Amino acid sequence: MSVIIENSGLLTLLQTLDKKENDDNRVYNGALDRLAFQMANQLVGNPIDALTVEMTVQPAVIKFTEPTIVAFSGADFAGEVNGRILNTNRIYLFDRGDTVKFDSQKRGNRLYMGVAGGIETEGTNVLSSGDELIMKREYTEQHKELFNILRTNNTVNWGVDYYALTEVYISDIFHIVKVPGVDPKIYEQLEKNTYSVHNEKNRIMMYLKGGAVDVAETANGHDIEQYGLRGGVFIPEDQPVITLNDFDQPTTASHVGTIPSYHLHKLAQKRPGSQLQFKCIDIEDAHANLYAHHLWITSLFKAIDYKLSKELVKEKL
Amino acid sequence: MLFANGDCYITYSTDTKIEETTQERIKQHFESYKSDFLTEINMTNNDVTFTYLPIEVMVSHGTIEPSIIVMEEVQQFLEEVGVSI
Repeated sequence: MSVIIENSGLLTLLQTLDKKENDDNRVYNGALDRLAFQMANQLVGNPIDALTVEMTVQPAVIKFTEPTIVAFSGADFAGEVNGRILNTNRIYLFDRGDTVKFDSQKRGNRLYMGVAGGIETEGTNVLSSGDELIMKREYTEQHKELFNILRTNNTVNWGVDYYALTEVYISDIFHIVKVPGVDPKIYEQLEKNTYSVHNEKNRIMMYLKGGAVDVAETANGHDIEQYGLRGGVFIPEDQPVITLNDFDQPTTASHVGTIPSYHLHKLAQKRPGSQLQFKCIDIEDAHANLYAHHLWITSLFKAIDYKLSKELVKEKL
Repeated sequence: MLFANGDCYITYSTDTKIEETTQERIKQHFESYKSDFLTEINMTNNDVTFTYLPIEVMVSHGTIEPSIIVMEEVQQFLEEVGVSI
């Protein structure tokens, strides 16, 4: 019994939370939207770093061959199973034979599917049509009780509203942590202009277009090699390019700053045409924001835990 | 130059090429190096970038300026392999 990828969509990967040592078959460079990844797991009662399915632009068509508890998180895609509309950030129980399809996307770019008890693959983590995911079935007592609760309605009457996540996803403003030695005029130009996503080379880099940035006088000139770190903002000519998780080679493009981790969730959800505005900040401000973000995520996950336990208590009564 | 490169990285950058023997020495030292916060190292011919866990540093040291602590650790690490900043 397994989860079958009937149609793999545009790019469907079994993904880890953090970067892992790669082998011949699997390239695990970590989820682009780490918040959605963790939330999909949190909702189904998994450890937050359990493997999830990351789907980009056009999600997969997925068939379930046994009762399976699932949550989708991330992009706001219109999902459907047996004529029933599915919402993101909500728990569902799918039955044997149920097939989930997604249509248009209202907002966002990436969707994550968490499966209670965990999933794995024997082959490559780049999923193709016809591939099967193996159910690990590492069920906890909480999972077993969840199965009982969901048997009647297949879902619960609560979830995480998009409203609750606006703080993270809705703004188009992205921080850039400044690099010492870069001409302040470059930051002025980046802040003055509005950019849009021109193209994303899948999980490798995001090309932006907007006002030109003159990097002729940057401290790190064109013959110096730099590591293409996650969220790095580089100016190869006069337009910014942002390096993503799968960028794995040195670059000689001018590195002007780095987008902090707390803004990479919403970056992962930007699609061609999405707007971006930059605010260039110092590392001290970035870390203060990161800590506030960490506290917010902790409280969100505690709230999910509370709702889950309340649901279980209600069932017992 | 040693600097906080975003909120999760510390980078040592130099205009002169880091020799292959030095790169190998850094790599080998990192493999046996024990750190509570440094998780990964990446090198090019001109820089060495360390990935770290800022929240873990903040929590264990009671600070919201973790890069200062990690930069000290990175500086010491590089000195141990004969790279002076």
